[in-house]
Amino acid sequence: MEKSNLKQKDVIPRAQALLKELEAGNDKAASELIDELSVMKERELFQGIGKLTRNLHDTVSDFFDDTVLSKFSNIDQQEFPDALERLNYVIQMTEESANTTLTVVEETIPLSENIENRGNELRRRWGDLRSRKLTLNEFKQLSNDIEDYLDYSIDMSVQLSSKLNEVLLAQGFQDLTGQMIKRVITLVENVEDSLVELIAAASDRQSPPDQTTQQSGSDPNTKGEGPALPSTKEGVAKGQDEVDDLLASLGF
Amino acid sequence: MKILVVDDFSTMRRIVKNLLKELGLSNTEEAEDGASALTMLKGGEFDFLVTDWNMPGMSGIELLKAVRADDSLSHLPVLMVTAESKREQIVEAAQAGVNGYVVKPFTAITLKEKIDKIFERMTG
Repeated sequence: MEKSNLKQKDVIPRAQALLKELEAGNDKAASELIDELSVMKERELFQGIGKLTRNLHDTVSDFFDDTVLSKFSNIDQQEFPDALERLNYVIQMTEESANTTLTVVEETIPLSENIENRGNELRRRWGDLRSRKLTLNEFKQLSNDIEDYLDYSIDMSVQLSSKLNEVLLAQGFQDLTGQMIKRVITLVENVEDSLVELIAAASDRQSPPDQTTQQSGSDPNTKGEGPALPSTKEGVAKGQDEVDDLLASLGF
Repeated sequence: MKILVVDDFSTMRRIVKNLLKELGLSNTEEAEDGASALTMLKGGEFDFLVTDWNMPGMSGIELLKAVRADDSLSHLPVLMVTAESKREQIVEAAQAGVNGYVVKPFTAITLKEKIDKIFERMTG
């Protein structure tokens, strides 16, 4: 940015005059001087904005010959629609995962409540047995019920384990959405860098922008691409079955 | 059976470790990228490697290639568990000598099948 255009030789006499008029109680004259000073200040601001706008305009006009362009062109244009789709996919995956988890929890709570209720009931009757309150028939019934309960609790434990495993797997979304968000962050950083350079180029057109190479230029193949977007059809295996088929075709 | 689980996301390492535990494989250790995994593999007697592909620093495919190139590790069975699903990547992993390839998101059954298959081939 330009240094201040407000010339001290213009300001100081007016400021001194302003002080004099104020001390003399000449409000009208003082007010005129204040207006004059603020007009000067505004004019300086408009000149600054005008200069910046002109420079920005010139820079954008020259954009196609400018190294700034190469910065922007490093960002694949498809990255923008992809980024939107990625973020939407993140919402979808987190929603699915939350729903899966909630459903499993809703199914699991009654199971554990049943185990607890039946256990409590048997515990009470067992207490009666220990204090010799049960008839022979009641004792026979109790021993049958305990046997049932043992089978039941084993069965319930198996079911609970399987439900907990579903919850476990549903947490996989964090990895997949995390990879997607990381790619969007990289895009935003690249755009930010390019904008900063554009502004730098516009405000100081004498010094060309820094020509450091883009970080995202690393080999995408060995680094990995992250999860494929749902809309990607070309060259992407849809699910484990297609992976297995492909590997089988390679003699796996 | 000592297993190394490599993934840059700790949640995924926990998921894989818990699923392995379900399969009776509880002797697991973790690494968060290829480079630290390779150091651990060279230092400790691991029998099995489960790795992600997309990781900062050394990626899973680079780790696989490094393992195959190392005389003391070249026979280590490697299962890739990854979101990378491009055909060329699957082919590249196969050519680099991967023993199994599971795409995320996966099910417990898929993981079990692939691991069983690898062990069958090892013993058979």
